[in-house]
Amino acid sequence: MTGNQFLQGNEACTYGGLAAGALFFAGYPISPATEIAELCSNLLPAKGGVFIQMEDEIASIAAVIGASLGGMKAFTATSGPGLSLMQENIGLAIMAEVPCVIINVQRFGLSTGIATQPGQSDIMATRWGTHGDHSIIALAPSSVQECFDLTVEAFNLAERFRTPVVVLTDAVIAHLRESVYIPEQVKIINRTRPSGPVEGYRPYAPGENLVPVPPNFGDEYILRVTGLVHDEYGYSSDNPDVGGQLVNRLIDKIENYTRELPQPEYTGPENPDVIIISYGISARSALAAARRIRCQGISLGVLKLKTIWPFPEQAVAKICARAPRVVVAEMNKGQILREVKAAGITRAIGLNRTDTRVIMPGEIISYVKERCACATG
Amino acid sequence: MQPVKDINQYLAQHKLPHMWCPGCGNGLILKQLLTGLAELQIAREKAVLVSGIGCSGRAGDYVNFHRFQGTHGRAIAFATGIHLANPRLTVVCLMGDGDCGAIGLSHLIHAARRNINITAIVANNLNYGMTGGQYSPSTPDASVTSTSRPGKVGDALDLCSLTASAGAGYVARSTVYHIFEAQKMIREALKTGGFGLVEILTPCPTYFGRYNKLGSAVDMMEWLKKKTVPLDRFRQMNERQQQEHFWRGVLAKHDKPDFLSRYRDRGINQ
Ligand SMILES: Cc1ncc(C[n+]2csc(CCOP(=O)(O)OP(=O)(O)O)c2C)c(N)n1
Ligand code: SF4
Repeated sequence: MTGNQFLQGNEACTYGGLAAGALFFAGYPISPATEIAELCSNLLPAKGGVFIQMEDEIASIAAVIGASLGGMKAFTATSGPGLSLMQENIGLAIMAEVPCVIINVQRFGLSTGIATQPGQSDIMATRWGTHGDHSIIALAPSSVQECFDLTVEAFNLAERFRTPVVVLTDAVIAHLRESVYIPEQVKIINRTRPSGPVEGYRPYAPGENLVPVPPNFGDEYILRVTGLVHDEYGYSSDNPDVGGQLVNRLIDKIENYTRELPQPEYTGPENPDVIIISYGISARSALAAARRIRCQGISLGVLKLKTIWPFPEQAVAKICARAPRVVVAEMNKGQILREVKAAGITRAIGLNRTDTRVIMPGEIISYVKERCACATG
Repeated sequence: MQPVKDINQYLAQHKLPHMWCPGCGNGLILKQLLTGLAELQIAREKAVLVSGIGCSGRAGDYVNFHRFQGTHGRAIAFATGIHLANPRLTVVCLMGDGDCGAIGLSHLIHAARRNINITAIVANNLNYGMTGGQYSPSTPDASVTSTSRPGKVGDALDLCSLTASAGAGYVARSTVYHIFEAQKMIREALKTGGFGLVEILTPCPTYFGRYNKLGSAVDMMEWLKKKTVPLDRFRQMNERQQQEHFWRGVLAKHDKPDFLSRYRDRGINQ
């Protein structure tokens, strides 16, 4: 499917995955992510791929990890409760450096919450849900087009960094219909494959950019994968030096190369009165608010995040230096606000909602007028 | 049949000696798996060992072919993905009874139901070895373990019956005492086109044997011999006698198409 299409966010994520070369999907139905599984079940067989509905989310991510190591690009889609179940194996995929993509359509609330309603409160669960020190990559689309583009990007980053990548959408974006352009061909990155002598080969020896070059199962090169601390051969080890170096490399291989991740997008005047930092569906409202407020004599800049993790603190700090007031608008109790403050923007304040209602442009305008009054004269 | 010494090609010699206790059956089970691979002439790069987390799971450290060790209980779910992505591989799961029968039980039943073409070998030492001898679902009623000092409450779970009734292509049980029988079963399971399960009762002298005063490792082997009876004899026993014995034998064996063949057929017919 190419050209201009009128699609739902979930459909766009699915087509994005397939365009990036995904041939394997394992999942367990959950609202509001279900359409991704349904569409995959229709599309994958004809491409020689496999869809399988597993017995739960733990099994789904496990099968995805297995399929990726077996040589297929693989993904799953879920929502909050499913993300919680996947956490232990997400940690395994980070530790074992297995590329895969998890689309998490955020819904409202902790526990079962309100199953069909939107939220943006899995930000920290995505970052810190699995145990142990680690880094993670998470991207957040704010339009149906970005659902397509960022899912392609997620696969590319997963292959480039050899790590799981999470796409954080929300129930509104997932079910929103917008026109999307699907190009004939997208830029695809495939995992680097080993070369050189088979004997003495070390699948976990760090290559360029600290990323190792392991083979797939079935290749001539022997692949030893374990969630235990392992040496460069893939053999488990309890040596403190091996453990320390491994965990630090897993973090550095991502954190040292954050410039390769999608950068935040700034829209607005050079030196606005207020900058709104936002992402996902909330960023759409911020952009609408900025357009409307202009005629009221206030200038609003919008900084839309695309990469959520690692948090793009340098870019955010640089752009925020242009405005006296910074507001972080998000549908949670301030999960990204904490990061913004940690990036040194201690003056930032939060516009937070956590009741399934989307933050509306009017709400942002009133908030800015009320709370940022002194800056706007 | 190839000479048994051929198993060396699958062994990471330099990783030996292994970490298992003296008298533990895990080494014998690994040897039977490697023998099965050698006899079926499965090329080193075409085999994957997916092991569980536990003493038996450490077998992966001693093999010199593709191996995967994920999270506790999930071996079969990982193996499902590996097999579906590359069906040319011989995918073997080697798990403890806790790994497979407690935390991973649902994956076992569903892989059997789907008849996924993988081979599962369960090293059933009747308890959790790695974490210090706690009871597992397959610990017999009244046995002493570190979490059942007065004796375990509740009957042992029969993994084989469950797997067979879920629809697996091949299900069998033996013991490390009856090692040649176990070897034959592993070979049969590897040859099965669908899901194959072989459960092998194995001594854990360090915990189960010690807690239940079963004597030395050799005594435990004798105990296994005495306690197990062929399936047909077991079926003739009364309930009380059955409680005191384990059956061994082949419980299920049928040729039906595996999940991926059926999936592909559906896809083509669409
Ligand atoms: C999620 C999780 N829970 C608990 C553990 C701790 N754990 C490690 S091995 C094990 C049990 C092993 O028993 P079994 O599978 O019977 O294997 P054995 O050691 O007896 O060979 C447990 C509970 C773990 N690693 N992960
Ligand atoms: S604790 Fe038991 S199962 Fe584990 S290595 Fe020792 S004897 Fe074997």
